[in-house]
Amino acid sequence: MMASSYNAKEEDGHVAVAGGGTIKNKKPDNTAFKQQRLPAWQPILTAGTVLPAFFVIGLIFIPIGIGLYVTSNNIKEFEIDYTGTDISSPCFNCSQSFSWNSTRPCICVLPFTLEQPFESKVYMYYGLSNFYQNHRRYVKSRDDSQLNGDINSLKNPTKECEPYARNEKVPIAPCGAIANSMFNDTLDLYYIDPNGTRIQIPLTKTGIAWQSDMNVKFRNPGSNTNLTAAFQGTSKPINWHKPVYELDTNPQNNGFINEDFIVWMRTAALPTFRKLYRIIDKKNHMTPTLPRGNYTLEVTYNYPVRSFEGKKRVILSTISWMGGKNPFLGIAYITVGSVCFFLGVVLLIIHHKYGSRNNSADIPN
Amino acid sequence: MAREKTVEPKNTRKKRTKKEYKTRTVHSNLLYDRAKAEDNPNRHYADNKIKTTKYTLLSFLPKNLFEQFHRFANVYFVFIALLNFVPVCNAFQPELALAPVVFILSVTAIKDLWEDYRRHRSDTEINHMDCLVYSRQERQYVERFWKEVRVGDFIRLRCNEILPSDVLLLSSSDPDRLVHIETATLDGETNLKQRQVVRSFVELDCDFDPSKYNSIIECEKPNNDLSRFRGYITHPSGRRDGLYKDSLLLRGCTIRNTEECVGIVIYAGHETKAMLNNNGPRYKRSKLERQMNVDVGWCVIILLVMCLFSAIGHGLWMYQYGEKRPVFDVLSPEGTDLSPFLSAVYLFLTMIIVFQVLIPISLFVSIEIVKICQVYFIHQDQDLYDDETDSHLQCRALNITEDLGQMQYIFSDKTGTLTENKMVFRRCTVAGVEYSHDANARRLAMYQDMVDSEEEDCPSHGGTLPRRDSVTSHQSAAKVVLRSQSTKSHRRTGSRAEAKRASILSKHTAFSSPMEKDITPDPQLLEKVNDGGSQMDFKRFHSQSLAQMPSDLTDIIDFFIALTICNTVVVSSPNQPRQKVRMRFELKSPVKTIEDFIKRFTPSRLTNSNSSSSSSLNRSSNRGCPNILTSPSSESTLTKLDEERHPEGPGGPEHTFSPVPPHLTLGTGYDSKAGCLEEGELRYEAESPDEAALVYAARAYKCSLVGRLPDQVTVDFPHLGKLSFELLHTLGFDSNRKRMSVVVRHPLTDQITVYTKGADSVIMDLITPPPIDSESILSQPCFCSNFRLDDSKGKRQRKILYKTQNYLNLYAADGLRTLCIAKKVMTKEEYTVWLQHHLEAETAIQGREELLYESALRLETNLHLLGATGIEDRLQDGVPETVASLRKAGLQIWVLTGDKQETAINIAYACKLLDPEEEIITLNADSQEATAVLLEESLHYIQAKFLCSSSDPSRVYQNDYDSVYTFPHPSPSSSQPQPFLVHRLGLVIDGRTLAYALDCSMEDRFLALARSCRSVLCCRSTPLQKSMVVKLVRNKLKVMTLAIGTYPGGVPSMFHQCSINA
Repeated sequence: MMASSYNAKEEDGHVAVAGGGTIKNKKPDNTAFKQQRLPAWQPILTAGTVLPAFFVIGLIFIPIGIGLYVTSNNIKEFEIDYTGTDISSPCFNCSQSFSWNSTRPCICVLPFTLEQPFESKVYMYYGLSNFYQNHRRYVKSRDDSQLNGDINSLKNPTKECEPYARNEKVPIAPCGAIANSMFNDTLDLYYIDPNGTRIQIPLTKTGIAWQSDMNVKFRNPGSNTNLTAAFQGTSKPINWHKPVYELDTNPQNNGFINEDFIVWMRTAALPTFRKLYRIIDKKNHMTPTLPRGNYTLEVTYNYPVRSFEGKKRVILSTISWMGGKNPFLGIAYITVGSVCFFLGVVLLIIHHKYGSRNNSADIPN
Repeated sequence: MAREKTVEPKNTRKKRTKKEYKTRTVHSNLLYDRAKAEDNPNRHYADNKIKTTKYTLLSFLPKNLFEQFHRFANVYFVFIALLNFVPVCNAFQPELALAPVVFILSVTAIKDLWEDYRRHRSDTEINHMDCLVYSRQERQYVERFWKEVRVGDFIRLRCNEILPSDVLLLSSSDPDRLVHIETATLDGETNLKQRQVVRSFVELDCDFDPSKYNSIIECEKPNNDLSRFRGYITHPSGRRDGLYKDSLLLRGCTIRNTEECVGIVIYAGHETKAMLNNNGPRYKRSKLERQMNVDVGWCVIILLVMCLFSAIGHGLWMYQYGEKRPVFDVLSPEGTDLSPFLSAVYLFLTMIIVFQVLIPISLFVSIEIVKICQVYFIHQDQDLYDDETDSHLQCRALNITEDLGQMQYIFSDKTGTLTENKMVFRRCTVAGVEYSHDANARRLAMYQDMVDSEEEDCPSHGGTLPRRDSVTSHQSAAKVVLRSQSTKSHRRTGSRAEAKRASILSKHTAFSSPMEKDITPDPQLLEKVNDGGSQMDFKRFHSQSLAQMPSDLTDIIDFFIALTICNTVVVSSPNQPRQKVRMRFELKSPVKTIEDFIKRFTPSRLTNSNSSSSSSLNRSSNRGCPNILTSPSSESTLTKLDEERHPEGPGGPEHTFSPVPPHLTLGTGYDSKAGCLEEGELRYEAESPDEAALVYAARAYKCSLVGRLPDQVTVDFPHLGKLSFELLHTLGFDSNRKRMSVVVRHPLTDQITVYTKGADSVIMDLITPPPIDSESILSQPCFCSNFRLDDSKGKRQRKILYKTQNYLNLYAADGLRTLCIAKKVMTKEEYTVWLQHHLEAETAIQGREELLYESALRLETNLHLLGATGIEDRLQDGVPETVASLRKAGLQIWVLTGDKQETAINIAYACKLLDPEEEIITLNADSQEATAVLLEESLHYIQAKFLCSSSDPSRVYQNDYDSVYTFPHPSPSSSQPQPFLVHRLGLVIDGRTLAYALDCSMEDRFLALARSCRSVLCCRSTPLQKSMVVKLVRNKLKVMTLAIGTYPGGVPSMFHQCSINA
């Protein structure tokens, strides 16, 4: 009964059309596409193709892995924890303060010794542990158009910034949780001469942020050079000690385009992360950037991490063409290469021993 | 019309409550002109405008969205998108998250819109089809659109027109007041059905005048029962007449074989039975779709687990910080702190959004696209294109195409699927003598070869020398083929061109391709017919009793009488295609009352039909063809044919090659095939191909049916001339009785004779047992002498019965469809008694069908067997190859047929369904217990025989001549997980046993048996049984089944119709 009326109708329609007298052949075209005869190719794996592939992969990957591993091992890295959880630590006292708003700066000095000289350019990082910068709501809590210098957003931050958008009706610049929680410890490095004098090591503040961030994403509001005027009518983030236009004295590194700020705003993917803090340039070819010897790290301790059981540390590192210290990549290359090579050998043996027995069986068709 | 429409909506609401009668009253619209349109009681009924579209411009968006949201996936995705708008748990930009959902919804909506537009277009096309409606103003029939037809209108329909609505037949140009309709669009049956003018209008001699009509029709409310219509018509005189479904013409049917007819519209538009039946295709879910739904369900569960895990983890993590709020934990926008629990709840929702990719939104879309591509390629496949009808495969269900490749069981109908449903008369047996019709068989073999050769050299259509060569050369091949009884005789390699030509030719008349029409008579039988005819003529002329005739000759004559008159074939002449040959001597209605009968039967009349018929024939031919010079009359054609065939007639012995060059007969056959029908030749319009085949067969013996009226059948006999049989009753064919009968008054003997034609199994049971059983003769050797005559007669009868049964078995073994012909002579007293009951049954209102059935049963008893016929139903092209390749692909094929067991088995052999090498288990049982025992035995037998094979197939492979196919059962969900063995066995079961085997207690055993057989053949099964078998296999084995049949409603299964005729 299913073919009742709708079909009937169609046939009725057909009758009417046939009455018009247009009879054309409905035979399908004999084309390669319509008759599904398009050329197709399927790889057929044989010992002749698979075995060389294994060996080639093995022979290429193992040298690459070794190269990467050696390079990674040549990179010098020094790490020092200054959280001050331990009572013997110089920063213990400072760390006891939970508050963000303690006006009195707490300074602690940590001595350390470099066993090896750091020859080339040295990068100085601060590292935080247990800090979930990847928290879903944290990541979103920013206003990119405000950071891009938009006047409207400066006065009316997006609601994504809530509850860090306004402080008592006054818009916060920069708004949001990310900016609010900006790392604000100050780190200074001193070299102790063999004769006992402290020499401050010059740290370069610029060139630590991404070029694209510097030039495209972040821009100060307004066109005038007077940042104080530009940020008129906004308030500083709650946790900050000073407003955004006082981050630095250099106008090229102040306001939203302060590089420390920009680095912080690029959130880390994992709870344990490091961010570039300063660069120590090489003075000349003769002396190493950081010669072997004693150093002191002077920390202006502002950033409380006890609330989340966090750790703070400073890392000094050189870099190579492949970036920072990362032995994993080399190890991975070596492992894959070795496995391929080993499999190749095993398959070669199998093929050699059993391959001739049934030639036809292993190749379908 | 338009004005009426505007009026309608106001009144409908109010009147509808009043209108809650059980019946519908239809008046003529002509009684109410425009001024009185308000009073027309028909105005509340739906008009004929159909609207199958789902949407209107306004309702499209909400309705379509509502329908799309029935899909779980869509609801889910909208839920996700909306969740994104909740601030506490939004993960992405809400607007962005909405984009894919909107895209998917809009693509589907556009698709629906396009489909609806197509429906709308086809609606408009149908609504604007023309038909003739009687107009009151113009006092004639004027062309109107279909949509303007209203209930109560009178419409006139001409031949090959399609009915615009359900129409009650009031008048027909047919002298018998009949109309033939083709209901293929409703039930798929290509047989023509007869519809009768409402009884009270039958008597109307002149043309029906609608303006004079003022009767009132009361009938049922519109319903979807195609096979039921009841009501009555009240005439102004107060007379009431019943209305039955045989006067109702249904919408969508096509008028055939009738020049024109007039009727009143009863149901229109959406209230027609056809439209009410149109519930749209049943939604079938494909296996893939079901699997996909299960998988998506698992994805949802995984998603929830993941979200729960995250939420709990988040809660614990938040809890460990306690009061010391870390700097990276952002407060809620209001600046309040969230408790770990609340924050976990929010996170749960957020995570649903974050992990939403786990539910594959693209999967649904890509599967849709893949399916569309698949359907496209199926459509474009040249292997699935039929040149003959210039048609593609039609894919009616877009969502289950991929299941075609997963079939494990195929259920096939026989007639029309494996075979062509093109019946060709092959052989017959009369009075125990077999007439093998070898020449006819050769002719049939030639047809296929001729077509072959024709395709080789198409230009030589004149068919002189090269053609004769090819024919004769092919002939010998054909002979070999026939002798070896191989399947090749069923194959027709080049039948397409022939079929095409036939289809063009037989555009007007069904079942009359030359192959079916031109039958070469068997010389021996022809001689006997001539002999019998002349003897009868002689006896009649000398007014001697016909009883002294040799009984075999009377049987032969009776046999042909039965062939010609025991049917519902309608005669028409081709020069006036729609005008039936009128040979009406006096207008009489069939016997209606006892008094009528007595009145009519007391004076014994002998119609001198010869003179009057010839005059009437002249009349008809005069009227038929004005240019009589070019067209010989039917009589002259017949004599011409006679002359032509004469040398062949008494010719050579039966089994040798006919010495007459066969191209002679071929030539005549070909002439008619070539397109110009011999003018003057009568055309037979039959309801079923079987009937046509038999009538054409009788015509070959010059016993041609020349005219049929409701009360009279005229047959032209050799030597006897035209005889008119008074047709008293026709008890039509039905599938329960499996036979049909006519009651006539024999013009020569003046006896009331019943001719019955039917399936051999039923007829054989109804044959009068010979007066004395063989046992009684043996036990009582010395019986009274006056029984001697009877005894010899009885002996002869027994012999005939025995022989006929033998021949029947032989026919069945050749794969022929067998029919038995029987007669019965009734005394007037018997007839009176029966008639009384029958008239009661006819006039009964309650249970009329059952009473008529019983009445027929009472009549059809104590029959005298005349003979039997064998009709060939030829196999379709390439069936054996298709079956073999399906078999090779590991599919099990079951054939469910209504045919006789032997016929079915032989067809099965012919199409390679059964293999001569394989064993056949036949289940024939009379009772439940016997069936159970048989099943048990068969199972044990199989186990005993094939037990070793299951343990070690390889060994058996060597021992047995053929392999045992091992199929690891594909469906793990099945009840029997172990690999199932399919042996080289065939199972044959008949309908009666099947009924027992399908019983709940036995169906498991039956299935176990059937599954271990390679092919299963169910004979003599009813449509209901067929569907039960399919259901059983599908439900119990949980496999994919495919049902192939030519009638859509017949097999309720996974696929309603999918003709794979490779």
